[in-house]
Amino acid sequence: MWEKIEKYINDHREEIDIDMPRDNMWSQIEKKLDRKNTSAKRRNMFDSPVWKVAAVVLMLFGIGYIWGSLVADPQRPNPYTTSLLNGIQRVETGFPELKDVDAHFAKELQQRMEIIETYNLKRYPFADDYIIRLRKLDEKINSQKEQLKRNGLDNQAAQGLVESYQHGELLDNTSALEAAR
Amino acid sequence: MSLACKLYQLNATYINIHSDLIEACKKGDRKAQSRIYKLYSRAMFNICTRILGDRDTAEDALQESFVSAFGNIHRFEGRSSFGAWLKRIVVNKCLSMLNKRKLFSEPLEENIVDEDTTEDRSGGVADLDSRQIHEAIKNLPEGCRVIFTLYQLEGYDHQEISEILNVSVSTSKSQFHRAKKLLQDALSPALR
Repeated sequence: MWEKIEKYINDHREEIDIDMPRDNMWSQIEKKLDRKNTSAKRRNMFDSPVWKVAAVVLMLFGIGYIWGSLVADPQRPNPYTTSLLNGIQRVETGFPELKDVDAHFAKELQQRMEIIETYNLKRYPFADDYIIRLRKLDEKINSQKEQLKRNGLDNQAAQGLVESYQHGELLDNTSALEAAR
Repeated sequence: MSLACKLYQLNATYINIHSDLIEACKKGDRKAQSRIYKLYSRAMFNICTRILGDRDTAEDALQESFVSAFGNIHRFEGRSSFGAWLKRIVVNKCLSMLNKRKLFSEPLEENIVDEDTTEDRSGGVADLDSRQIHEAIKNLPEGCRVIFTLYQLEGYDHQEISEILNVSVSTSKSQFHRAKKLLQDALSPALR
């Protein structure tokens, strides 16, 4: 019996393909082909070496901009430096014997700040620590000067102020910062 | 002109018609693609319905197969007929969808049926009807329906079926025999 069925199937192979796909099947396939072609064209366009080079250049510009604006911008105000430079508004003691030494200290401090700004040393993490210590020294000197104004110029107060002014190792540290840059 | 010569010419004409269409399809000619679709869609759709069992999934498979075929037609080198190449794509797409649905999650049993023990019911071929056979095949249980379709209708051998369905050769054979028996049972009233 099977031979008869098999023979029928073989002799009528196309006739047993009864099912028909929906009439709109081709239009759906066309839509899919169109979508595929559009995305392939878009992909091909961006596969071009010109676009690749352009993308790399844009990326480099982007990185440069971010670096320049967030990390290495010398114009970017550093809160510590700004605070310290504001602190250079010297406290006037009214004692003429202190005027020259205080001006000298302010000049030294200003030079250190200029070095830090010129070489953009503040982008290094260790520069922050240095600037904080300079600011603390400056605050200490200003405080000592306020005390002098209130209490008058005595030997002990004058000695303390001079020791502060002579905090040379801190001022010399700028060279280490320069070397590290 | 000899019969062999006529056949050769007929064959050559057939090949040329399709190669022109295929070359046009390679250039993205939508009319040529439409003609190829009209030529093959019915046969391919019936492969889909027989393997997948339901019409909606079969239509999805047909769509994806043609999109895939036209998208990769530049890879068709003409070593086989275009129909055979397209059929491969369709069968693979159907099997892939079948696997996605995990319809083969139940292992196919090695339900070996000895062909010689099946009852030989006599009857005339003239009594058979294409629609009856079509429906009987579609009503087979899924596992043996897929194997019957691949072996009997699409020309795969049991070794190939075992590889693409990841079953043993003996499972493929036993499921084919099971399908034969079920078809004989289903069609026997027409053969009496």
